[in-house]
Amino acid sequence: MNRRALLATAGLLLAPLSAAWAQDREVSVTIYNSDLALVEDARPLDLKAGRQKLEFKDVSAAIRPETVSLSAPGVTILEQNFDYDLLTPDKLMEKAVGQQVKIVRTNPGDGKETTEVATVLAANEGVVLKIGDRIEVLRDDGVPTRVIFDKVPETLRARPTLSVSVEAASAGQRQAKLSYLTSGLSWKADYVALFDEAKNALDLQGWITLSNTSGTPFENAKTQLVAGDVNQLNQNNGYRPPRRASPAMVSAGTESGTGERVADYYVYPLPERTTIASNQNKQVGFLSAQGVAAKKVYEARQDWFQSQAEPEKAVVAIQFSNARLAGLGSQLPAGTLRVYMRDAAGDPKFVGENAIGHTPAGSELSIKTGEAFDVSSQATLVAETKVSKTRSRYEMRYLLRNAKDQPVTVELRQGGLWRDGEVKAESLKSRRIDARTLGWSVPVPANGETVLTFTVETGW
Amino acid sequence: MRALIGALALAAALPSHAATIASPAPDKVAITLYRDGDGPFQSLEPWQRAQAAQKGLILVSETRTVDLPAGRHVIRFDGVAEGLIPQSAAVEGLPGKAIERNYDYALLSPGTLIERSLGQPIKVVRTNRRSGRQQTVDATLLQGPDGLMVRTADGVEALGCSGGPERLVLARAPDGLTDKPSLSTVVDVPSTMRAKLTVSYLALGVNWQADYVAAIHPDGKHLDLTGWLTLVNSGGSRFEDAPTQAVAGKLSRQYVRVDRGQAKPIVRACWPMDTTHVGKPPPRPQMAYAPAPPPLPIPAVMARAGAEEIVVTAQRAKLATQSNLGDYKLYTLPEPVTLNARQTKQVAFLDQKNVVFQRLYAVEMDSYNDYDDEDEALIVPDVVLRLENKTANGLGKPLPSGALSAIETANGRPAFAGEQAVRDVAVGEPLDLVIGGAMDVRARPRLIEDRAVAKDRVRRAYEVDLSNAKTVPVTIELRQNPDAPRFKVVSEPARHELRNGKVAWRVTLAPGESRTFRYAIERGD
Repeated sequence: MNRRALLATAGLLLAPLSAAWAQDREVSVTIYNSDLALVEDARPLDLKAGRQKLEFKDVSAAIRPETVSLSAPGVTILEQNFDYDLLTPDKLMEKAVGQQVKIVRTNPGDGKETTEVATVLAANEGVVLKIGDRIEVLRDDGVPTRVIFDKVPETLRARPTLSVSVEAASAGQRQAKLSYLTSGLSWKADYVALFDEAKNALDLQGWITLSNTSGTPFENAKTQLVAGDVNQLNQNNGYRPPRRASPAMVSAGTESGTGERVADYYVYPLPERTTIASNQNKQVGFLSAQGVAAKKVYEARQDWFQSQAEPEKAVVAIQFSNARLAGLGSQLPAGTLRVYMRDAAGDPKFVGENAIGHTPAGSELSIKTGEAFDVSSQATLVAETKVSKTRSRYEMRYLLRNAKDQPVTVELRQGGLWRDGEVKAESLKSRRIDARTLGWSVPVPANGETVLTFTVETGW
Repeated sequence: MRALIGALALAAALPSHAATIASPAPDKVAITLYRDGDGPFQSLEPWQRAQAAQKGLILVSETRTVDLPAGRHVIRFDGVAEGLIPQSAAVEGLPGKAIERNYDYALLSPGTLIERSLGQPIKVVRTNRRSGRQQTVDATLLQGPDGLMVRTADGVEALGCSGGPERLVLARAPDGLTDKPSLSTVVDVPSTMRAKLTVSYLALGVNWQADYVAAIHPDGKHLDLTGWLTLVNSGGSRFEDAPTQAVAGKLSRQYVRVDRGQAKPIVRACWPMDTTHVGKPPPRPQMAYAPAPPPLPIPAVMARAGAEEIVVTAQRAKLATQSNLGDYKLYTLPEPVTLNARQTKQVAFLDQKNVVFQRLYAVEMDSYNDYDDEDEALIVPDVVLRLENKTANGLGKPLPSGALSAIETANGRPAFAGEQAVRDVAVGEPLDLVIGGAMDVRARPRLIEDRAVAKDRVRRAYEVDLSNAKTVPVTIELRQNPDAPRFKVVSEPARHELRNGKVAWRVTLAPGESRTFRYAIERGD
């Protein structure tokens, strides 16, 4: 047997059936938001009649083996195995205990190699060999010594390997379909919003960002993405916090979205087959809208009656709706929304980002982009007095500053009202946001200040 | 034989994608820096400092020219900045529709090379230490990179466990492995053309802060305020001749994981090795480790005796100009600069002469302290420089956050007088700078009365002995924290003010004067 033939045999041993599978393979991948994907792998299988073991070496390295299912006409599944006893030099040596290996010593003096046959007696802390009638420790003298093993035991594998034992009714080629769930594939949406303050409008672009950290490439795969929150076991020790939509959504929409759905979820098929390489982030555009009505608001909030030692910058939020009327009319899968504005030279500049949850069409969104450099509020608790055994009166003063050259309105929120809370006096009419919270829309002149005072009484 | 191996190594170095068009470097690059992190770099521990510099965000806008033949291509953008956030990338000026955009961070490294060559035919080369003769054996790569195993005509062998010199030779580098993470886009080009593309993206690793120097005049009432934009590039990217801007203000940010590339070492996982005799064990096979992390940056202006390069580029005459960006302040450097890898660069943006300030000595009082600890009888007042950021006071300019150091002139020589963090200060806002503790001004408080006035209410009276040993008059601000239920001042020598949430009295002492200040408060018990 020449060397080439031997190598070819070795290759066959490594991947007994993969050569036959490379062609006509059709992979489709459905990726979920939560580190999960459903892989369907359709390919013709050459089977012989009767029982046989099929090994699948090219499945995802992050496969969830309990979810595997193989279907092919005229084939009965006997058992499915997932083997992950991995081949390493030390494990191979352990498995070789009691067996014969070849050792090749290189004489450091003249470089001559001597080959001997040895029996491995033990592999603990060091390897003890029986060579002929001598007992020796491997590399006891530090002389370079190679160990050659005849073969790799069948139970040791280079990679975790999925194998299925099947019984085929007859020999021949059959179209088989292997499907399984895998982790390591995930996606989210990324949005770019270019906000035009003068026009009170924004241009929105949506990108699907999918990432593959599963360790396996998916070549030329039909890909679709599912937006939604699917239940998965084995997370957080069984504890599941109540699901909450993101705070960016102010009110939930009632419009039906666009595109396909599966059950309660939206499906985004990619228009073309794509190759998702290992360790790759891939982005594909899925949404583009121009001139969506949007506005900017300034928000300031304090949850208790107390003084602030320093002015607190107002929070800037961009508000828009994904309703049809506002110019968008599409659901927004969860992701990050990055807001850009043009600077004086007309170049778009990043001005802040925030997360949004899965947002049905027709919702109102409020995206906090950052803090206003020039707009601030500072609270002073002027007096706190006792009204009755369970009631107190708080006299508050807010100084709102605006260093911009145009007037602004600050949405001020004061929390901390408790039982029977009521406003006794105020310099500007308030509205009750809820039982605990008062709200004012405070106008602040350009390059100026506004002082807001109010007195509330509340029980506790 | 040697020539063959050389050819193999060359083949391994060649890129593998035929349909990929590489854009080797941008023609022009412009950068905008964003500030991130709480507080100035000076107040951070070295490791936090490194983190703060890493967190800083930068918007990079590159212009590239690419020759595109008709058809579908992958355009790869080489030489993008380290720490690129791929989700934020945008490519404008493409001749056709972008099919998809990819960011590949599978790096070529010993481990990944092995990992992607499993099952491939390779060669094992053994060198005879004595004669230098090399022996090449055909083999198949069985396992790696955690435990290298090959199959040869003789059988199965581990590599790197024998103690002899042996190495692997591969015919080619596997597809899809690059030296650095790479950004690429797939595009359909309708007809052959030369395209001018704008590639913009956000990246991590460049931060900035403002550093101020306040030179206090001998009159004690005015100071000269100089402001510097300190740009800190803690990454390995170089931005050459780049128009540069810095954004002041706090942006809301989302945590982002940046895939800087996944390199893998080879782990040998050899069988246990020990000897029968005491002494030096045989040399262990060399383990491959990931490279050591780059040295931590020493970023700020105050970094003393650092090995880092600090470049001060601007003269006082050339200041960065300020404009607005939405609700932030945008500083544009007067001319393009080259920001090198691991470099700190400073450019002036503020130079205000004769800024009016007030020097105060602040004494903080607490309505729960009984002031009966003999060891802490004396309070050292804080030295506070109070500025009002108004044009009338010689200022009236936005002050981005950072650090300020005060310089006082004594006998014509400058002396460092303390430093302090500065928040973002808008025009019109007051700014208190605590630069140190007083030397010659002291306060000794005493609780002289503690009496129940109602079932749940106490009256507490204080006496504070104030003294001034300086040769100039001083103004002391006595501050009482009103943070107590139903707090009220019931007796005071002069009407108090409510300043920044504290009850405050001003007392001016002549040189050498001492005075006792009496007041009383009531609070819930």
